Amino acid sequence: MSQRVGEIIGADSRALTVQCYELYGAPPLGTFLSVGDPPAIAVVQSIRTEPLDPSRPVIARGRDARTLEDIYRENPQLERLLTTRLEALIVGHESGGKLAQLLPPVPPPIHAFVTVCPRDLVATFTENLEFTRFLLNSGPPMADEVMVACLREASTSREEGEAFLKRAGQILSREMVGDSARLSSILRRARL
Amino acid sequence: MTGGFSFHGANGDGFLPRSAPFGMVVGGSLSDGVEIRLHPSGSTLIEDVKVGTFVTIQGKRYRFFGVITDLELSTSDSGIRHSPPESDDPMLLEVLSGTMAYGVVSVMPSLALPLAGDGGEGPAAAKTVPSHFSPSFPATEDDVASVFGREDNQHFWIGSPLDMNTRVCLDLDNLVRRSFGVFGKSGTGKTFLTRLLLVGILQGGTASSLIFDMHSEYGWSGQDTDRNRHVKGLKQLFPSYVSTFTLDAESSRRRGSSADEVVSIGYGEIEPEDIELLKDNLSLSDVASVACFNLQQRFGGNWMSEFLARQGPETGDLADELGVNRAALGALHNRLSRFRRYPFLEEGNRHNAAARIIEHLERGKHVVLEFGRYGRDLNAYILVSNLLTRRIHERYVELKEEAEGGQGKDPRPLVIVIEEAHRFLNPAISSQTTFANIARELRKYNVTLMIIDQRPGGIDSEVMSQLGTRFTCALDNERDIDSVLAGAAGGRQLRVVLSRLEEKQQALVFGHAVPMPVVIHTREYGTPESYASLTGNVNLAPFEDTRPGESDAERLERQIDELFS
Repeated sequence: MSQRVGEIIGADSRALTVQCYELYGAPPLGTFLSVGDPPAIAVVQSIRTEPLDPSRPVIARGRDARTLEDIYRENPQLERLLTTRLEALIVGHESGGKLAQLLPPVPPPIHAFVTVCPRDLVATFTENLEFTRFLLNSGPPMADEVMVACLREASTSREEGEAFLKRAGQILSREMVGDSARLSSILRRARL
Repeated sequence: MTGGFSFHGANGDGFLPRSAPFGMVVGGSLSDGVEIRLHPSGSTLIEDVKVGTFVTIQGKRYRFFGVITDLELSTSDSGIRHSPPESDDPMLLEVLSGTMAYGVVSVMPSLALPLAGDGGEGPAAAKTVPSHFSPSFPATEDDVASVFGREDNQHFWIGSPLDMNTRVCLDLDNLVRRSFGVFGKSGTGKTFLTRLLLVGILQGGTASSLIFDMHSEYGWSGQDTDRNRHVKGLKQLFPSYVSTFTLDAESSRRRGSSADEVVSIGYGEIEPEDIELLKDNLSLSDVASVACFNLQQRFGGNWMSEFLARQGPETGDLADELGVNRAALGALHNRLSRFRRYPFLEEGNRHNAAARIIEHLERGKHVVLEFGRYGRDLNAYILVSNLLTRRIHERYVELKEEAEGGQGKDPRPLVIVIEEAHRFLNPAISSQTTFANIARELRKYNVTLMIIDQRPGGIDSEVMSQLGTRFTCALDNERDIDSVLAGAAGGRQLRVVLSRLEEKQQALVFGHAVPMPVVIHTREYGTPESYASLTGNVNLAPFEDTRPGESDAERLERQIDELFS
């Protein structure tokens, strides 16, 4: 059973905003998500935790606290005042029973459930590396970091992770013509 | 069998290439050749690709054949040159190799074979280039055969393409139709290549050859200095088709060669032009060499004997009589006196060595004239070869003119083989030599030259431009390389190929006898197996000892005479 982490609270054709059910309950950067049914596949590209009410800014509370846990224990309201949201980049969808590395015709509806893709789905989806174009073209400053995280997840989802990274590197090299330093950086960090 | 780089896969189609492509066309031009980027998968390592290798390119309308003329390491990111990736990360290096850092192979497409049609058309000179992204393959045995023909009486196996076991064959008809040259610095295998070519000409059966064998290495036997052994000459391999003449019977005897005839030349046969040719070697001034003409005018045909018979003061008197500078004539006398040391020069003018040689040639024999110890004396070599060639030339011109006039048949095509050709054919004297005439125009008289030289840069460019086929082993000197490649299609690209030839047993061949330039690993010569293959698979016509216009009865009578005389 896939782990449900939240639901869509904002969507456009390219990216989704997801509110997590648990404070700090966002899956890691680069995680593949399955959204709605039929599912769109998205990759976590940024995570932020912020006040539910933008008019009530967060203030510092820990001057006399010894640990972070002390703060939350002494301010139980924080669990209700804060929320964790994430931005996910759509990289594909299921169409006619097949996974396509294309944007879905329409974005998933608001409140659509968001689950973490199981390992086998990640492995299947990442057999084709066309999706890396979406990540590379998602724009700075986070694109490379998301790519690194994403490749790490895809490579750990299969046994022949090193061979996968090599193949990914070769595909990326076509996209990153003239920028070997950037490619080197991505590949190096994907294996850390 | 394919070329030296490794490939996988097969499609089983006889016409389409049977192995995986090693790269695809990404640019280039007809004049500079096309650029083939090695396959990004890295299945072909650039280190496995060699310049001079024979490849094919599968275009949409034509199949192109060419040789690799250059190799380049290229990158899509100029930054790689300045800050290459860390060498301790093999995976990163593997990713970048073949993608951002890749090999580019330059290929000069020489021939194109139309893909459409009934298959009856052979490859023709490429007048276009393969389109973008055409895949390129290493040549297969079938490719080599479709370009160079299968071995038969008119196609002589001369060697193999680089890293292949298939046979590159020469079109013998085309080879002997025009003069051709064998070049290469000392020790690169010119002599072995020449032996093979002579065997080829012999097997072709359409031409005779006359070899002025400077170092006595083609007739009976020669030396393989690398392996320290003797190799058989033409006479041992084809005894009934080869006649050996010698200037030095003693040397022939010592070497175990039984020369058919000993050549003598009369002083009366020497012309002033022969001496003019030796002007530099004899250190003669212009005045002295021109004085020969005065002497001929004064004494007639026997001018040299008459002149050499004069002693001391008589020479001075003769100079006064002829109106020639005394010192110059004295110098001429002094230099020409050296000829007295040549036992093959005799009094008189009726020795007819040329006529005897022509007789053998007309009977379809191949004549090797061994110089013995005189091969070390360049003056003797130049004098004798030029003199005999002049006579033979004159006779061939007569025969050809008679044939044109309906009074006889065409003389049998003749290939005259000379070594150290730059001594005869340098720009300063080439206009005076019969050899230059032959190279320039004698194709129409059925005589062509085979020039063997290690300094082609010294040969008159006009003569070089007349060479139909050129075989060149390794050359170092820039001038020599320029000279060999002058006028060749794609000469600039072939220069790289030529400069990378191995020192032994490799040659670049281009011109009329081959449809496209090719680097060959020369066929083995000198082992028992090589002799067997050179003599065993040949359907030589039985030797007919018949002279033109001779009846059977006349032939029998002559043969009996020859046997007992």
